[in-house]
Amino acid sequence: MKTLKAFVALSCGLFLLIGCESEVKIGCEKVSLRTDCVNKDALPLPAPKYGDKPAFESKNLDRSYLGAPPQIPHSVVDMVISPETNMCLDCHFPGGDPIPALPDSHKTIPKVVVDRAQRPQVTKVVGHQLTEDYDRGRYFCVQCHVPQALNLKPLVVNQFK
Amino acid sequence: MNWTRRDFVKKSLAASAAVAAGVQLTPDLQAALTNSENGENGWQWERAACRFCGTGCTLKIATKNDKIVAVKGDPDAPVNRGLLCVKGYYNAKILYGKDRLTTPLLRMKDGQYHKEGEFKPISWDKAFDVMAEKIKGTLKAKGPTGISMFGSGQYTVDEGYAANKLMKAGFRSNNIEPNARHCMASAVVGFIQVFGIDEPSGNYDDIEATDSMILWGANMAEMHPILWTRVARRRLTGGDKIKVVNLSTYRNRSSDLSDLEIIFKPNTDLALFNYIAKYLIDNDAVDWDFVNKHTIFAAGPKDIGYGLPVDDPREKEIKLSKAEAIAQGYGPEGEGKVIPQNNTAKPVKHWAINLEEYKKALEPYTLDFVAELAKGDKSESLESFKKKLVTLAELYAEKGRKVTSFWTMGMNQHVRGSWVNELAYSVHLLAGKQATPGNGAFSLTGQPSACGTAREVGTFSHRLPADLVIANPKHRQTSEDIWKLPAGTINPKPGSHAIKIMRQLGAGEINFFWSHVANPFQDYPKLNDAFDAARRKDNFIVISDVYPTVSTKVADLVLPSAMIFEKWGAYGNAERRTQHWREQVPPPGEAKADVWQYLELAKRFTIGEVWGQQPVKGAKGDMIPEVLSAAKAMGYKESDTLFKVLFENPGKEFPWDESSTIANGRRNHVAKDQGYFVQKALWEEYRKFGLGHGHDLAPFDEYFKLAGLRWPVVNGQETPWRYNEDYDPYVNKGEKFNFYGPALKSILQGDLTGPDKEKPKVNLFASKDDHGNIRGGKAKIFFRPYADPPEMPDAEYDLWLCTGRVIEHWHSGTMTRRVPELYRAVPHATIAMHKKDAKAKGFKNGDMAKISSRRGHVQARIEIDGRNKMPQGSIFVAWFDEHILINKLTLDQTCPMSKQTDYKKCAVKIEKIV
Repeated sequence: MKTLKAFVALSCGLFLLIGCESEVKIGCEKVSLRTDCVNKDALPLPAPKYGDKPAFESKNLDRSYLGAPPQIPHSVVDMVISPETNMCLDCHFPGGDPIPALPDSHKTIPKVVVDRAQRPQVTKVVGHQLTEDYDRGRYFCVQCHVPQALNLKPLVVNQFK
Repeated sequence: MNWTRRDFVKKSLAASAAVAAGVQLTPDLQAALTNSENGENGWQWERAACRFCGTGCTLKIATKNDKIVAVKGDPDAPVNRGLLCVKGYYNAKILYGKDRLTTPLLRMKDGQYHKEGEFKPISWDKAFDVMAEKIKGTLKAKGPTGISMFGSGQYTVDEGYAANKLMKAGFRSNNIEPNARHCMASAVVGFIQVFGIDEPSGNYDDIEATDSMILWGANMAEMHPILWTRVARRRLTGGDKIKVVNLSTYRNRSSDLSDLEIIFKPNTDLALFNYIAKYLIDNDAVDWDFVNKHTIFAAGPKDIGYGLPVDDPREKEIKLSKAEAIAQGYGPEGEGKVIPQNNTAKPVKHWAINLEEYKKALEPYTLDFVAELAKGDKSESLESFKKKLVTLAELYAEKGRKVTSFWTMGMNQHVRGSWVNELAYSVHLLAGKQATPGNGAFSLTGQPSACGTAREVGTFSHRLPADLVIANPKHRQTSEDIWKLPAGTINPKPGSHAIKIMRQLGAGEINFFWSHVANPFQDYPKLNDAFDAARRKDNFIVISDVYPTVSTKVADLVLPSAMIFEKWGAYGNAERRTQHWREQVPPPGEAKADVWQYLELAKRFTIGEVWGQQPVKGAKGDMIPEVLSAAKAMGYKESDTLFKVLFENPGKEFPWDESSTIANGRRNHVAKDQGYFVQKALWEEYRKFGLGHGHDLAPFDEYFKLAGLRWPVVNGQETPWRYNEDYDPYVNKGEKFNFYGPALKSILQGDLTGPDKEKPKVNLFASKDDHGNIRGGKAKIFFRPYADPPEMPDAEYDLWLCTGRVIEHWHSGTMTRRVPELYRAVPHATIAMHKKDAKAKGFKNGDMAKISSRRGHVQARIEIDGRNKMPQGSIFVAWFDEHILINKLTLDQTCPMSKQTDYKKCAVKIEKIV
């Protein structure tokens, strides 16, 4: 490091106008998710685009596996998702081809008993109950379902099948 | 996948028909939606723990042909009850990024290791040979303090335990630290100083039992999503009485559910707690019966510095601001007073004070003073802010109202983190709202096994398993007995904490650094210094990981590790719940579990090489004694390897049998290679530390029958609420409460200015039982003042920077950014900023900008009115993105007591890119 710093100091003297920090290169191997030197600013980063079509015109995306939460194929910018106002549910609570409807799994609530007499677990799930409303614990849809910037290629191929 | 909407509807309908007909719905609809258990397409389901946050959700994993094919939430799990968050579901895909590390890589030139060489694949044998040579060379030159190991709150319990034992018993070095030091060390100091024992008294069932959930610097909606589901269910279906409060330095997603949102200035949470404490006293809302029986008041020094490098002028003296002068009892005229920082070396000392002193200390914390100091949003009126503070205080004060306070990094990553943790307990103890269902101050953890491994196993430079500490000779002796070591083997001098290790690497005082399950060169503050430290010529950096990272790029040796579901393991979550799992699929290529790596390295050392006399500065005569002759007397031979002495000898009684019930048809690549059931052997030995002393864990096999148990597990039953006679076997009937933690239970007495050494020490317990456990134990109600952080915005660096996470990514993004769905959801970190600030600087949404601190700079895009809505004068940047290494900007300031880094505040500026 000392020799490196000496070299940098020298370069700074010689190329004062260019600036000296560009001389040191650290971690420049073409591995990892960024393939440039880690002590530099990364190259310009593409801006994500989460779909420009209206939600009802978007095409459902394939799920990764049976039971994986479906991704959101449209933008959710400016969509309010709160306990009082949930714009996802406006369309998805009833659903209707091709809009995926809220499944019954989202309308069930776990039944749990906390009892000191229970061994070894004091807290036990004893079942799940279907309600007429949806499970209010799930008001926060983007906890599981996330929009996709489809203009971006994955950084690394994922070989999950 | 061949999943169709028709299947979906069909299965949902079948399931709902079952409910309508009154049929009990277990396994739940989740199962109906995914598949039947071990169903037609040959999937095998098994229970495991989630890889990510401290919530500790239980998974069901489906495997087929040695690959993971699906993941779902375990419907029977008490924590998550069938649900997962988006990251949780993608546990299925984190193993399958194409660039998994599958072979050791060494920097080489001309067939030899060379610091400036290029990475070349080598064999494991060669890798361990090089490592052993480097360690032996360093031990010879510098002794045990010249080497270091770095882990995380994501080690499995057995891994952390083995690493700790290898370092402390084998190499006699205490330089082992987890990234959990950056994550919850302040929480630990809070627990130890207040209760005398680590980890929460309550559990997640507090959510369903409480009336009020108060978030202090914890954006649970994103960071503990499944707990948030439970909070939301409670808030939205529990009736009008249930309230949620979000205290934060900026508006985040947790505000959406909140009845009250309080935006405060960084560090002023200290003042807010003191205001509440004063309010409780002034409004006769103190539970005096509880306070008199079960607590004592305490105070400590204020002049403790900020954990900056010792030559930093702020470690020598500080000039009080007006707010500090008032808050610390000097009055406004104390402004500008120069205070020498005399207690930087002993910031943890504290002493008992009386109630009158305590009240006097709280006097300055009036509504007027605190509101003006703490109001964090310029656009809010002082009157509105005051009203909110009163409403908040009333929640704590209201008789019969149950209150649970939650916090995470906002209070832990804090230059006064230990203080503010203690203040949370102070208000709960004053109100008598602690350690009963629905009542308690509840420190959440960030990582899946920060509690289970880092804390309970004690993979810190000053700790040993089960809350034992290096500095206590009795604790060392207990450890040496369990580990069958000669007396005096364990180095009595605590090692270097995480920040100090990096500084010492930079200074050439530590030359060997081996990291696991962590990405230190992305997560340390002041990264540019860390990069220089890594590339220093005489340093050797080893990184074990599953994928290439920023850390592997600055390393000298890279070792391929097995991932969570490619090994047996256990995690312990924030509610003291321990969960075990089996190896589900084999690791790729030559990748091996971290514990396998420790055992293999241990084969390269004989006790003759490491148990002689060693130089340790600060130990008696600057040496630790040789223990070889004592070892021989115990039957060891000088040529015995550390593997044999530390691992194989005690492990042999646990043979591995692939056809056994516990194996359940699963493999164990570590056991197969090492010749015994490594994980079970380590677990059963580790258990001995805590049995009978409040840290009881169940036998290994028990955990495979269910979704975890909360310790202490006594007489085959878990403990949901500690210190409470109704729930905790360590509290006698009739005691009602017993804060029985044994640490720091005998303290000096004094006043606000300091201890009075003439007075006798006061004991915070009535007696000890036959097993040495405390009866009539008391907790401490601390006074801690407000203090400014060492770096605040000024004319040049005019913005606060706060860093943190997002729900879609885990920590440094190593796993989650390789899952296309998560990457595309949030590809890059952004600069969250107020629209007025953006406009004033000439930015619009989406513009690239350069942000800099005195330590470094990065470029990123501006995000206005995104998920985090900043008040003017503050920006937020998440740290998951290795393209935007925000820790180049952060400051290596720590809580001086806990040595935990404060990543939540430093001063930065923002500029256009030219």
